[in-house]
Amino acid sequence: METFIDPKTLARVKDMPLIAKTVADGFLHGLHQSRQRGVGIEFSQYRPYGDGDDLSRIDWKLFARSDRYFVREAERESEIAIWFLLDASGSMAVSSEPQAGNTRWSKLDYAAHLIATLSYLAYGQGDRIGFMALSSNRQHIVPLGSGDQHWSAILLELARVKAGAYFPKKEMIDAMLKSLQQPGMVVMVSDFFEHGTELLDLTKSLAVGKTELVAIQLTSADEETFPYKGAVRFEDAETGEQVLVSARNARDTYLEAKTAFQRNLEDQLLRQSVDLTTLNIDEPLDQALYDFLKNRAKVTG
Amino acid sequence: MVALFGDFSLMNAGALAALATLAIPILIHLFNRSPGQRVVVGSIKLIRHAKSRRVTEIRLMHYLLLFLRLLIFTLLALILAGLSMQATSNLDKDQAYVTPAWAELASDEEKQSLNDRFGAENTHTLQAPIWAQLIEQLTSVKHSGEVHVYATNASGAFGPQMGSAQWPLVWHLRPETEAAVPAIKLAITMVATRERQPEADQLIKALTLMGEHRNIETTLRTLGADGFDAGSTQDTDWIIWLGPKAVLESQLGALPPGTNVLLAPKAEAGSSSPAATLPGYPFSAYSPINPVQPFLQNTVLGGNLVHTLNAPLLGQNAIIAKPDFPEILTEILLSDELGEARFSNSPVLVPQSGDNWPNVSYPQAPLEGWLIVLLVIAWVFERWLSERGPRRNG
Repeated sequence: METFIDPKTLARVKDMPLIAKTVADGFLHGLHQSRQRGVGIEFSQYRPYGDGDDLSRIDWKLFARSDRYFVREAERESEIAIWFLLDASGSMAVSSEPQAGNTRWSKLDYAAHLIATLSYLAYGQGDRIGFMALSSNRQHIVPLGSGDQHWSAILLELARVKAGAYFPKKEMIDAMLKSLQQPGMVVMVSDFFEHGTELLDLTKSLAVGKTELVAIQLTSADEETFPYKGAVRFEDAETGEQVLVSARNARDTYLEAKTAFQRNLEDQLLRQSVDLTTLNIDEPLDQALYDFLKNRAKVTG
Repeated sequence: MVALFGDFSLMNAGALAALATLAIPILIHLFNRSPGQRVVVGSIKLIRHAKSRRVTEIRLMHYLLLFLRLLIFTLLALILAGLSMQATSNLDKDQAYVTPAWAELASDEEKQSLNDRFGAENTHTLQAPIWAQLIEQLTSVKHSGEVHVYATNASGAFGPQMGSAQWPLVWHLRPETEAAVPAIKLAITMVATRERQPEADQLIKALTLMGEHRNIETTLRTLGADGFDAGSTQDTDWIIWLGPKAVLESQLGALPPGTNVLLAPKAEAGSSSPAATLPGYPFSAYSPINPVQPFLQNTVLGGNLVHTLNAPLLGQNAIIAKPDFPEILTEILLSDELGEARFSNSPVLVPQSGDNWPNVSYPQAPLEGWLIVLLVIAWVFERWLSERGPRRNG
């Protein structure tokens, strides 16, 4: 199961923080800033001693100088809950055409590597991590937890994920979504190809409150450039519907439709205040991850 | 295509084998019915509206491919058949072709000398239609030696149509039939004013040409219109009148009964016309196929039949400008009494030895070269078209 972690990728990103934009409210120590004041290392402020405060928190040196009781408060660094939500519908099994005889990663392969690496970072910085892979056939869930063993459990579950048929409708997974709708961060990996509005419904219901939704869209080189020639029978990975086209002539129409689709997706997610990152599965993961993390660190300031 | 289809029939085993190869492209087409490489995509939505028109385009391309492949195999079969025919039926010795009429008339000595010269295997008796068969033989079988034709000199013996031969044939004609069928005798008196002398010259030229070809003995007298005396036209079959109509009308009563008159209206001043010629010299179609009615109007004036030409002889669209004018004229002059039988006994005119024949071989224009060019074009096109097929950009 360690195969999901590529040493090269890890070397590149292992010292980078995975940072949620929303301020975390967790209790345990972690990398995320906490709004709660209390015990910690970073000094924040003094406040007068009140009933119920622990006597050990009184700053006795200040008492000696001022003859008043002050409690020293620090900003607490805390952990957050990070959910990894993977779209395991049939369309995620798509990969680019093999090149020079080498099969290439499917979107699901890429997503597994991506989630393994991100979850490694998250668990390394003390966050609680959970994993959920959804398709209409099967749902994989690893609840929130932390620690080495928990991370291993996620890797194990990642290895078990197979592409199913459709992405489930919102009603089907409402119960499961409850656990996601809590302060923290949800990293959603999908191709965002939907039949109805199931994916955008999901993002809408997740991007509320103190949950930050990070949408990662996976595309492939073939989807971007449409490199086909001659008569090609395109088959939908989920419905099996086939369309026979002369690829050369269909290219312009396709690219147009693709651009429109992308623009629409960005619009919709922007309206939901969801940050969208598009990754090409035929480009190296380490660079993409590095850029992604760096970008997030920058945004957070 | 005669050259290649000559011996190319379904009875030919080679042709059957070649037909079997036509099954190959058809099978390819049938197996290729579900065209296109299959590509699984995440969402078909983006491709869907590029669909309908493209499919017909692809179908069309597949049928075009099928057609090209069939064409390639057909051409290949034809070329091979042609080559094999040349290889197996190359007549490298001198060949003799004998018409049945000649064989019937020839004496034993003549037949013996024919046999001595060519041998039985190189002597071929032609069957009706003789001219067509001879042409087919010459176009389909390669002849490396000389080609001799033994025939009587009646062109009718060669069949209803005798076109011009493009090859240097060595003719051996028996004159017997000429004696059997006497020449047609035609006495013509041409009456022309001085200004219409060019027309008269053209008519005389046409009559001379046709006389040579049709075994017509023409007796021609030329008179001036001014001093015309009807009494001097005894023993004349035809009077061709190229003069003032009034003078003719005044003389009509004096003409011997039964004399035919051909009246040509006067052309506008300054009109000229191409010279009368006969196409395909030395041979031409001899069937009286030219309807003369459109050119002629018959009236009876003073007990004589007067044929009036509808249009002047000279001028751009006049009948003298027609390439078959001599034939039309002959038919006008000989119309009623002389039918096809008379024409078919006209002599075969053979080219003089001094005529320069182009240096050609038999068959004259081998089609293989063109077929190979066509094959290469079809093949290149087929390759190009099928390379456009389901491939990727590398």
